[in-house]
This record gives sequence, structure tokens and C-alpha cells, in this order.
Amino acid sequence: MTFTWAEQNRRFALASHLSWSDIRLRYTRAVLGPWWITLNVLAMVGGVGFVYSRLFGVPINQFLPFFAVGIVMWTFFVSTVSEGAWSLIGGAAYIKDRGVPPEVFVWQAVIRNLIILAHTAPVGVLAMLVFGQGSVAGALMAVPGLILFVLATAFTAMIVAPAAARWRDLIRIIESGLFLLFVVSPVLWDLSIAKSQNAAFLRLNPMLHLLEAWRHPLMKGVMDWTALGVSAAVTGLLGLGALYARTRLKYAAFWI
Amino acid sequence: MSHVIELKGVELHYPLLDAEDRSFRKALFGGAAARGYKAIRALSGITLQVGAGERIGLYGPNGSGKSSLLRVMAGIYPPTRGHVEVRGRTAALLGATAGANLEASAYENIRTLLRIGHAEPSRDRIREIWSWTELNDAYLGLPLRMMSSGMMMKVLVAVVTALDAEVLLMDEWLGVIDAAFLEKTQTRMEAFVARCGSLVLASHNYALLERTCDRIYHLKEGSIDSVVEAAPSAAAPRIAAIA
Repeated sequence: MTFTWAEQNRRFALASHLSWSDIRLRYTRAVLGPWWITLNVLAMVGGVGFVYSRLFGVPINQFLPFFAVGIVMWTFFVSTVSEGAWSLIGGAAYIKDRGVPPEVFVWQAVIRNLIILAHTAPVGVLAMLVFGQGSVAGALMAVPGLILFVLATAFTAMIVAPAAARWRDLIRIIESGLFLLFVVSPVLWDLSIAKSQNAAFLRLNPMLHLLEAWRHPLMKGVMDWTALGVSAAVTGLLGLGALYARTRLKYAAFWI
Repeated sequence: MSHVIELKGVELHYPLLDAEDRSFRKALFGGAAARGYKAIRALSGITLQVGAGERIGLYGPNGSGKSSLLRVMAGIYPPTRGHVEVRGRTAALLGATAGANLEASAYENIRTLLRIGHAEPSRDRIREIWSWTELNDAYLGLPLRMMSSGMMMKVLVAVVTALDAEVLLMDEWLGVIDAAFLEKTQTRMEAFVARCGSLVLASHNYALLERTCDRIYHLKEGSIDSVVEAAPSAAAPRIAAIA
């Protein structure tokens, strides 16, 4: 089939229809609907924020907003990537019996998690406002970094999707990889608490830059150009990987 | 004659992946030997055309390649060799569940399947589809898995026959619909095929194919064994009862 923008638009529209359908299916019986997720994140941020600020000896008005914005975006990343790994297997019936293009299901995982992000992001905003952190200028400076973060997440989902459909043990490898990434990335901790100079090696982690590219300006009101530059490069590479992975999708029907 | 589907020398190798072939660790550390996997030749040397308005039958035993051929036409399987050209929109109805989400409600499924079939899921259209099935309204909001397979099929048939497409690709699966409802199904299928133009129908039921199709391809072990011009009689319904 030849590529057209109309077809691409149609795929995107179908993916967003499926995403909303998922959200409805998942939360129809909950009184608060999808805002139930907001409450969950709020409780988690409150609990972890209180405990770890004491543990690390960081004032809660600094630690809690830092953790809130970090965990909201981190959760978006983890859920999108691990659901991306499952996406083709989940769409198997539509792919094999209806001829729906496999990429629709990768976009479905991305869009569904963007919808969830729209329900969890207010927790981050609330934490910033309540503890008097950040500024309008800082928030604006965070925009490019946030866009790169979302793109990098979507591209990673596209890369893992065909691979996880082809090699079924990859899903568990990816899931443990994501946990390892959480441990070595500054979500729960900040580089400022790392007292040792040996902590410099942590900067080799691209996720640190993907987080700092928007969180640094958001919290401190100053751009972190290094993080933004590294983020742009990493996102570009992931984008190339995603383009290649997308060409593999035509074999997906054999694997699912 | 203008062709809506054209296949030239199509060959399809279907990979047979066992647990070891599916292991990433094995692929990574198993050396070159672990990288190859077995494949069966599901189709070979398939050359055929489907003209506008033609009704094509695919006949053959299990494993003769009927479903694989339909999936190649639908663009689901990329051919290993050869050339496939499909002009226009295809509507595919293959496999047992025909791509339904059993956890979602009938209403949600209708909406999704309409969207997949390039149709706007308007309230009127959903109403029309539902009233055709003659099912109790109470089922509309219930998960599809609560329906019997026959009821589910009514819903799926109703949706797919409400679509517009140039080619309808169908694997035989109407068998579960009750006899009383078959006539009604026939009429609706008839109207759909008239609107669609072309039909490719795979079946074990030769009488059905004879009554329905202009031309029947006999498949054997992935190749075309013979072609029979079937010229269905004008008096008989073109879409016959699938009993």
C-alpha cells in the first residue's frame, strides 16, 4: 500500500479512538472515572515525599515537588514502553483478522498513556503551587525538554514493539531493564544529594539528561543546555531506531 | 478488464517459531545456528486476478493456503516473493473472532469496527446495525463475551455488511448463525456485495462456492491446482445459505 497522509491520519484517529475506548473500559465502574488515577498518584507522592524528604534530610517544600513532577513523567515513560512491548500481542486479532496496520497499536499505547498523563500531571502542578516552587518563566523553559521527553518515550515504544513481538522473553528483559533504569535515574533522588565526586559517572545515563532537560528549568528557572542538547541527540537516535523498527512491523502478523 | 487485485508469482514462507526461536537470549548468545528458523511454504506460484465486480471462490482442504492467500490479499502477510497489487479498499473478515474485543461492550465493539472499516460510528448507523441483529437492547451495553457465539456473529456480520469497500475478503465463518436468521443474512450480504463490487470467499463448502462465485480456485498445498468457471445461475441467490 502506498503511503499517504490521509492514511496516516486515519491510523492516528483509529489509535486515539482505541485509546479512549480503553480508558472508558478501564474506568467506567469507578466513581471518579480516570480521576481515580490522579488520587492514586496524589497519595503516592504525599507518602513518598514525606518519608524520603526526612530520610534524605531535604526540606519537604523542595523534595516533594521535585519528586512529584519526576514520578509523573517517569510513570508515563515506564507505562508507555512496557505497554508498547505488549501492544502488538494485544492487537493480534485486529491485525490478523481485520488487517489493521500494526503501528496503530503502538500509537494506541502512546496515546492512552498521554491521556493518563493529562490526569496525573495536575498532581505535579499542584505540588509546585502548594510548596511555592517554580515560576511561569521556568515552566515555559521546560517545554522543549518535555516535548523531547514525550518523543523519546514514543520512539522507545515503537522500537520495543516489534522486537517484543518477535522475541517473547524480551518483555521481561525490558521490564527488569526499566526497573534498573529507575534505580540509576534521578527520580527518587537528586544529583545534589550525591556527595561523592564519583557520582559523575551517573551523567552517562541518557535518562538523567532527558529528565533534567525539563526539570532543571522547571524547578530552578534556569536552562540546562547540556541536558537539552544530550536529550535532543538521544531523541534523534531513538527516532532513527523507531523508523527502522516501523519497517519491521510488516512482519508482525507472523509473530503474533 | 480492470483488476482490483492482482497477484503474480506470489510465494509465501510462513515462519514457524518455536519457543527457542522466540528467545532473545538465544538469538543473542546462541551463535549463528540460533538465528535461522524453520519456515513452511504456505503459498507458491500464485498468479491470479480479481476483476471489478467478480466473486472469487477459494476451495481446498485445511492447510491448502486459503487463509494465507486471503491474508496476503488483505496486506496482512507480506509475500516472500512475487508481486501483489490491491487497488481500492479491502474489508477483511478472517479468523474465528474476526477481531473483536470480548471484554468491551457490543456498542463499543460496533464503534471500533466501524472505525476500522473507514466508517463514521454515528448513532444512527449503530442503531441501524443493532436493530438488524434483532437482539435485546440489554445486550448492547454488555461485554461481548456474555453473548453466545451465534449472537456475536450476528453483531459482527451486521457491522461488516454496513461498511463500504471495494473488495470483501471473507473466510468462512457464518456457520454458527441459526437457520432462521440465515435468509436475512443472505439478503444483507447480497446488498453488501452488490455495493462492494468484488468478493473473495474461502470455504470448504463447494456447493456454496458454486452458487456464489464466478470463478473457483482449487488450492492444494499452497498452489493453484485448478480453476473452475462457475457462472452462478441468475435465478439462484448469489450469496447462498451457508449451512
